[in-house]
Amino acid sequence: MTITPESISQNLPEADVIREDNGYHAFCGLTCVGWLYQKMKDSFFLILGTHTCAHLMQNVLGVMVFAKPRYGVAMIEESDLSAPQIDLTETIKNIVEEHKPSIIFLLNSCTPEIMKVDFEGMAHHHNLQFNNTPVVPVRADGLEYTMTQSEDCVVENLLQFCPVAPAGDKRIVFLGAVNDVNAGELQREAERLGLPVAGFVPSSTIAELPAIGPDTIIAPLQPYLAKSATQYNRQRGAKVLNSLFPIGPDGTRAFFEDLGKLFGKELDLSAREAEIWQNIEPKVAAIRGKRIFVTGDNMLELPIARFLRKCGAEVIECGTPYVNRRFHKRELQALAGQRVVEMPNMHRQIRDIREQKPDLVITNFWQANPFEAEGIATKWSTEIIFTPIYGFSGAGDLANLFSRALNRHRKLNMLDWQEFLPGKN
Amino acid sequence: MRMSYWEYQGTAHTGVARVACSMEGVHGVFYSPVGDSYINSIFTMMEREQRFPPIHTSVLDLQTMGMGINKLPETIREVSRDHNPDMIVVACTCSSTLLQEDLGALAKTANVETEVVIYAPNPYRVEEDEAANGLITLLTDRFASEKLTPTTKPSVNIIGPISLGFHHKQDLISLRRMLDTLGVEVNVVFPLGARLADIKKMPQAWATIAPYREMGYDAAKLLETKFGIPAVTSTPIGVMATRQWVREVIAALNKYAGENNLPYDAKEPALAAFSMDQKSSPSGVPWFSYTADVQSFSSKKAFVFGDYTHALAITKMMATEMDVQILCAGTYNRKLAKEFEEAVAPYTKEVITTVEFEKVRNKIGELLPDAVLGTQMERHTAAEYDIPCSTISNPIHIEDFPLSYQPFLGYDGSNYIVDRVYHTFTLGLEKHLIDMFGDAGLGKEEATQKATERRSQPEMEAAEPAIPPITEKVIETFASAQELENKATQLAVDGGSAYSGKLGPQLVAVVSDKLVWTDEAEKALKQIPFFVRPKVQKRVEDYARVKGYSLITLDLVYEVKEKAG
Repeated sequence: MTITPESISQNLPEADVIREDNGYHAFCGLTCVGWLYQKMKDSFFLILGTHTCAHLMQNVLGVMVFAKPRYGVAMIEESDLSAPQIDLTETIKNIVEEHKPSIIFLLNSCTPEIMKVDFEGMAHHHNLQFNNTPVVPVRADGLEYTMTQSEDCVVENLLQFCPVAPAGDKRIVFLGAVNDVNAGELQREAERLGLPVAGFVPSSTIAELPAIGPDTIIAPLQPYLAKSATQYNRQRGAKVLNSLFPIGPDGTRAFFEDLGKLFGKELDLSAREAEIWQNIEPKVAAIRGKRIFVTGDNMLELPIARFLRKCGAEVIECGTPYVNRRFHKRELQALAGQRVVEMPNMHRQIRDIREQKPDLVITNFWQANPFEAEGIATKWSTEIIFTPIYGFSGAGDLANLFSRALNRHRKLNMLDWQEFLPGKN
Repeated sequence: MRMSYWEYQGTAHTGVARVACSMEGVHGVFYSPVGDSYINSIFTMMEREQRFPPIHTSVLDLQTMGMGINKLPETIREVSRDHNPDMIVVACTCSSTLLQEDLGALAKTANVETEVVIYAPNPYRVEEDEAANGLITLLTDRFASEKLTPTTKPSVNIIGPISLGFHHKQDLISLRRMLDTLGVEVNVVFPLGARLADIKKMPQAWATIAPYREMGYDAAKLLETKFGIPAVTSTPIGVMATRQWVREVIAALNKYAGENNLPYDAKEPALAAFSMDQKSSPSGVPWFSYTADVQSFSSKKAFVFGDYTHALAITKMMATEMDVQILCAGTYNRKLAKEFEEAVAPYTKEVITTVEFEKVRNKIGELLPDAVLGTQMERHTAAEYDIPCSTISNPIHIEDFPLSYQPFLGYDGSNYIVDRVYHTFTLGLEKHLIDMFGDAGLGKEEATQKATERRSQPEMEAAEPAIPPITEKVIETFASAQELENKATQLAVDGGSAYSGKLGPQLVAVVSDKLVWTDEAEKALKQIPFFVRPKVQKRVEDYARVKGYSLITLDLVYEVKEKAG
């Protein structure tokens, strides 16, 4: 991967990364469908899975199917287990007829993985079979993949549908699914700085995917797109920006200043950054001085911890599913001295949290209420994924996620819920 | 292989987790990929559980699989050491079951003092409820093994209330209230709140109450066979069923006392004894049913769908206590389908048993009932058809854990159900008046529609707006609008129809399946009360299709009306 700008020092101190034994809780790769199918409006996500996968999809994201959803589970039943091979021809034919998608993502899951279904071969076969509707394989089994890792697989696979940009077409392609408003804001910000933008991957429709060529600048918005960035570089020779991710005023400033360098512009966004910090000061004030524990399940943890530290919080621990030392280099440098735990052991974390009593725990859906029951304020980690936190304009929403949780606890202080528990009074 | 967009139940491991999460001092260990631990969040988020779900995943991943390592013994040791439960239940999930590991042998190598129970039903055959019920039976069989001296005071076991059960915690309050009135003590509630020691205590009760057919019935029958403890398995939903249930409980206790020479001979107490203040009527349902206002219920046609217990009991109650006509009753419980069909037959015109919600949706679309009593999915379907709906059964939803007392069982439950159903139906009556008096309901239609849309939104705050379901149809319609206009004009001329207006773009919105409604005809359609409107529209359009018309004029609407009488 071309690491640019070349001037980045490779020898700065970094965060202290400890690796544990993977005893963590994270949703499997299938859950990325929950927002990607809404982002990509002409797609269909077909899961080769079981009844369990269907139950997972309808429960974890709180989404009730009420219209025609653009995802579904081709459900492996008992008779399929002993069948010589799984054939999705009829299923895909029906989807093509009913939904008329421009693209079908075929996701595998644990059961076909254990059955040793030749998944890639199967997708390839169906891809040739339906020549007007590409069928693209996405690895999403819970044996190996967590939600954002599979999002990386989806984004990686979109490259083949991006037109080839000619040499000399030097424009930015933002990499990562963000909502349309947030995308518009990032594009406006770049253009205001005189940086030309080709588009976003993913886009709302396949036809809107930007052209990518040897002079394209790939600007990753999220830390979980390492595989995609590598492939875009390898296959098209595009340059990949290596900077902080545009999360928080500090990250956004570094992101755009580094982008500027790639276009030969020395930008100074210090005033802009200061202005944004000032705007969000009331929210930052609620975070300042607080002790925060990030359990880690979605890969956004490094920039979140960096932002919280900038707000003046102490991050007791920053857990994260995994660290990519090259792709996350700048974030790790910005977290010098920070305790980062890769593949954390959830049970150890629960013990530590009980002992250290942080002011806020950023954690998964599962653990939030039990921690609240122990008097510890929480924030759902998944909510961060659903919030438009990117760029200067996203900084307010980002800070608000944490300040609201903290303020709420302070304001409800007089309400003693424990007194109302059975057996307490 | 079948295509699934949504399921009424989870798989076997969800059922196992529900039993473990109901109990005290019990830990579930799943040999599974990390992803299968998603079920934990259902307990803490939907039921707002305060404790960390007592569930551990013994992680199966490609690395350990490749190396031939199984972490199960290690996980069992860890759980035993860190949580010191009375019992560990080990289970598989749909993927790990394919590896056909000998869980029993693996668990033995863990070498722990803790009681370890292996329970591995085939996840491809056994769904959530059946797995939970199977585990309840297995635990009863294994641990309620010793005949005990009966309790001195009459007492009962209550088997069935379970974590994530539909209003189960509130049902339990209602059952306890009635048992209090009868002077009967509760020996054990299982699995909700039970410890392993409680299961062992079950043989000392005089009777067992198992109100849910799919949850706890088999264990109650087992205690009856093994220890001669009578099982009361009827469902006290509805006033008559509750009164019957009270009599059955008394009869069971008297029978047990007689067989065991215990001094006891109970009679049914006065009804007032069951009321909240012991002075009033326990239920206003019977009088309510006779009041003039509720006469309209006799012309209401309802569709009922849910689990076995609620679908059957509510159908029976609606038919016999409200005189509502049941067009169709159904359940997603495939295993009990035959029993359901027989039991529900006297109260309904049709029966449907399926696990595919699309089939239920189609049935509702075909019948267009006045009200739907179903699950969350039927609520969505009903919203599509603009039919009032009330939920009466699992699958569980975050709204099914209300703060106020809303049981389904007993006299209290009967009152609550009728209130709930009445409010569902009332909406229809109010709307009827608005439709009759036109402008009196200024803006009400839009408001109601907006409320419906809001209900249909995905629950998550940050989720994107709903997909407009009609987009494709509108686009398709636009393409053929010109063609239709030509045809319609032609028709109007040829047929000498009353139609004379110009077909403008506003027409597009009322085109359905290439049938065009004239402005006048559409206006007439809108004058029809909303709850019969889709039915009339369907009838007119069906008629037009049969006759080969593509333009629906006011004359045609009247023609259909006349033909229908």
